[in-house]
Amino acid sequence: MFFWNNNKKKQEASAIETVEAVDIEQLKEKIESLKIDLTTALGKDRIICLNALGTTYMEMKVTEEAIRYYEMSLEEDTAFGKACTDLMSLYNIKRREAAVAKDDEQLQLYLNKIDNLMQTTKTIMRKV
Amino acid sequence: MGVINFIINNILTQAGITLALIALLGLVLQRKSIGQTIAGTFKTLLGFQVLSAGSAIIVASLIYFGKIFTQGFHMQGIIPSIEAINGQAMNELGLGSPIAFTFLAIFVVNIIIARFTKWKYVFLTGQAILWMATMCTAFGYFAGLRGFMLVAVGGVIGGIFAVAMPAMAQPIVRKITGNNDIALGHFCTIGYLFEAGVAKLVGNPEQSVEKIKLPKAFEFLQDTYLSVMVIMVPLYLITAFFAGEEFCQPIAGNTNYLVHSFLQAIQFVVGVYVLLAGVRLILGEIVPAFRGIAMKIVPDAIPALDCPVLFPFSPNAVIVGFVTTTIGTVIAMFVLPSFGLAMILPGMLTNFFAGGTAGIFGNAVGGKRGAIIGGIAHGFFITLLPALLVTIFNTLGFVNATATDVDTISAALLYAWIIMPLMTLL
Repeated sequence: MFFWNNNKKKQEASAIETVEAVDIEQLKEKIESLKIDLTTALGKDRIICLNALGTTYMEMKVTEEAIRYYEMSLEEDTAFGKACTDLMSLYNIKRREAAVAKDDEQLQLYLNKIDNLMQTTKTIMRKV
Repeated sequence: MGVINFIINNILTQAGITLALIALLGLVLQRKSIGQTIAGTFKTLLGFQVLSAGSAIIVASLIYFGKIFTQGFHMQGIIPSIEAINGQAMNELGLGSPIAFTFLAIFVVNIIIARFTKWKYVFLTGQAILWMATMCTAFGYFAGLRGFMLVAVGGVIGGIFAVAMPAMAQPIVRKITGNNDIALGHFCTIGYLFEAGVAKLVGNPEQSVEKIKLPKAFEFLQDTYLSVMVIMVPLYLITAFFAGEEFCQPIAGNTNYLVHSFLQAIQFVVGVYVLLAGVRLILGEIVPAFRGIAMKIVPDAIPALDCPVLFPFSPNAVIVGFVTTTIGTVIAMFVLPSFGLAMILPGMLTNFFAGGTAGIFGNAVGGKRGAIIGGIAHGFFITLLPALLVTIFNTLGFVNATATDVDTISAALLYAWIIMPLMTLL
């Protein structure tokens, strides 16, 4: 029974891995589709596309790419939305990684990005 | 021995030099180049001189305002301005050096608590720590503390507030942001929790204020100094009108007394502008240096950030919070003098930032009804607490101003109601 329980846990773990692999594949396909859409999207559609790319990369835990697309979105449309709220979380993830790695330069970079994001937030709020 | 005495009595008593040395320490610990270290150190020293200049401008305007208000309304009119309190404490009252050391001590105590306990909050809003250091030092001095004890007690109290306030707000911040990545580092948290408490009693969180379309907010809020001016100019003019030409004209000299009053109002705004420019220069070197160190010592820290961090999650609630807090402060302005307290005039910056953030808390817990009723209650609350401190501020030598951030006022009340009686017993 002891070994049966172990086997069951191994089967569950490999089932989870299979599900995760399929999810990642689906997310990769979604990214490719969004990148194609981005080449032709204009105005609000472009912002929706950029935010969707940021969200998808965030789900895949590819932090740098998520930051890149969200920053593009915020630069083109400086308004409250997913870009603003998710960027704070993403900057904190990178800040934590830099702190653990004792990388001063990256730590200061992301602390400054957090400062700039808050300044942007104040500016947006005053124009709401 | 003579050299040590010289350093203690002539260098470390100079606030500007103390602050510059703290910046130097931070820059050296970060292994910055010699050029960057020298530039950063001198910028900090320059920042203190700019702050002092700003404070002098504000005090001159406040002295004039105090005279005409007393003449016009036969009571003391108090302007809530933590900037004016900080400027006077560091400059006119000569508490600059202890404030600078307490600022550093709060930071150190915060890092120690975050490193060795389960409360991993590191308070990163440098300006707020400076206000807390100011209040702890001023009231510690009032309680009879001096020298090392003044700084140590201030550091411990301030450091505990720097962890406890984010920790207490965190359950609601998690509800607002949907995660535990960030905390709130703004010393108005007691007010936010007060509004949340009222909102819980009266509101319904299902009916969020974000579901309704609000008209555009007032355009004057787009500029900090414009928003202060919008309040100060009518305030000074109305007060001068009530004080009368006979009283005001000798003070105004050859200028018409109403024009003189208008210029005094502008002078107040200019003073705030200059003082805050000085604060930014001071903190511009110290905060990046020490927060980098803090983040490395506590890598799993939850950064406690300034209140605008929550604005994107609930922008309508910010507007509702600002308007309702302003209503509450105006009500308190007229009601509190009937209880023998001073008339506390509304502070626009506090009403926007603290009121707005309180609105987010009220909405998160009690929906739009919570944000509205809670906001009015919040406005009354944040006017009542500063009113309780006016007598002590007068005794200490502050001119016609009181503090704004309720957590710093709570720390001050701790000194006034607990530490001072304990000191008297000892």
